[in-house]
Amino acid sequence: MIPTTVTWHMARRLFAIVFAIFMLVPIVIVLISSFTAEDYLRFPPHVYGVRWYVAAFRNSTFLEAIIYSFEIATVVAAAAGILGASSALALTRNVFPGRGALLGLIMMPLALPHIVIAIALLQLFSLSSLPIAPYGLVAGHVIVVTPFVVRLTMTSLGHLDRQLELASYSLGASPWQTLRYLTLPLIMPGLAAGIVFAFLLSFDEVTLSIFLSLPGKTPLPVELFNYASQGDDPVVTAASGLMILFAAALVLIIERVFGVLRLISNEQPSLP
Amino acid sequence: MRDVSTALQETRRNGPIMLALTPTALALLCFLLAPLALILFNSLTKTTNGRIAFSLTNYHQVLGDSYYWIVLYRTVRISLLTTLSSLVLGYPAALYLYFSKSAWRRVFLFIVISPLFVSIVVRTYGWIILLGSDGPINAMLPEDSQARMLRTEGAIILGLMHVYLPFMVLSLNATLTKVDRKLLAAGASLGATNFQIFRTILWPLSLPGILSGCMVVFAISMTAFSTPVLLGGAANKTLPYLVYQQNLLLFNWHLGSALAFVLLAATLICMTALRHATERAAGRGLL
Repeated sequence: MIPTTVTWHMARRLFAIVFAIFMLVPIVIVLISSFTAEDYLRFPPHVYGVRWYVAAFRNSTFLEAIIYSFEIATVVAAAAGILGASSALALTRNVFPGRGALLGLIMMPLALPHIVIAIALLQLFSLSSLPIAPYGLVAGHVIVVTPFVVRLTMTSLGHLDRQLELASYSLGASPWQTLRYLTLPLIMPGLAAGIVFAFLLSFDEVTLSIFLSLPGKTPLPVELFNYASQGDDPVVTAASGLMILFAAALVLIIERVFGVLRLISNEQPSLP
Repeated sequence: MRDVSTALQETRRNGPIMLALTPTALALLCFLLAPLALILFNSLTKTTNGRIAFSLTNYHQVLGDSYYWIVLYRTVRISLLTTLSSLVLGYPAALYLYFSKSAWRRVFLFIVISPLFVSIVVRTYGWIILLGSDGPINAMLPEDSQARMLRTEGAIILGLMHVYLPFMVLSLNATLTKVDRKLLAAGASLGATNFQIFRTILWPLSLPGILSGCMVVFAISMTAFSTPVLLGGAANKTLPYLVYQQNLLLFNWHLGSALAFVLLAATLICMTALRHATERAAGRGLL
């Protein structure tokens, strides 16, 4: 390998440390400041406590926003899971005319700016009698997160040995039995990771939600956006802290069960 | 007879596929293609006295107004600086990932990726606290050099760069991992210095990753909405904010749609120009 001198080695390590701190700093700052027991934000806080977390849960605006975000993300994850799994299965296992075009169409929202998808749905729903929230909101989220489910499920399917399915058929299992007892359980890691991902992406989504939710009933990121545009506030910090803690818990679960690093670093990054 | 039975078999085989794809196809048709067609239609029409007529007025209005050009220029400038700074910071990080063999490599990768799971609003809010006039950065500076850091273009670039750095590092990493280490060893065995190895082997081979990383970061910076609004304030509006304004505050569907397509077109034109410039420079041996 390349000979490395000690100073070079030190510089590399120092850069890595500074870079890692830079990546984490805004998140850590929010977390630390959220545990202040004082009346206003100060970094670092002089007295620590959870009083603003209590305040965030007592604040009906934030509580309702948290519940609404959970509801939306659950519906979105379920819908994206069903659409993603069925299309990934159909697209991987078969060659038919229009297959490439359909796959391209499914992946298209990755390349389209969220703001364009958002105004398109906004204008579409203004024409119909269906209210934009929750219908347009859920539709937008599903369109945007389904590509991730499809991609992760297709990766799992790609690793699946085709011989196993043929063996299942040769033993007299019906296509449905093969799907139910063989294929689905074997691709479950990819599919489940996709669904958890879909949930988190929907839970975190800002731009689409700003355009597609109705005033008075907004998901948590939109509520945070509205508050944050007026400056900093300990309650907002605590609500942000909740989002960080929740994301951290989910990421730890994904990492434990599926290996987040493996899932992401092998993939081409895609537009959020 | 035989043809009929094969045809039947094919329908039987294709039937479930079609059935499995129908919900997705319907969803994409109703919630992606139809709305996109609608905004294209709205951008090319105008309503006068309740009657809809085709017209290019909306595009004329956008392209003929210097205000939109100023905002567009600002948006492009911010996006270019964001792209450049994420490359300058992200490249050494990707090199670290390539060369490091220690256990910290995994931790480092995890730290680079994990911010992606935290909502953009929350990460941006962190910068609001940090850069605030009473924030920790100003508190560390001496009284006379304290500055207003929020509501500046610099704040937008910093915030966007932080949000999109993971994409840059991942893109560079994806390309670098494909570089065979034996090439570097071969260079070293032929007496090349570390810098020569980097300049003549690693750097040229990493160019595709640089290009794709820059394309991704540039495209999402151009169309980012929440970070520029939160960190830039009223004086530093970018084009996505004007799209928001026309659609959500003024309910002007026609102008709002035209603005969205101008934003898309500007992004694509800049990306094509960037790609050509990079490829020409690489072709002439300038990179």
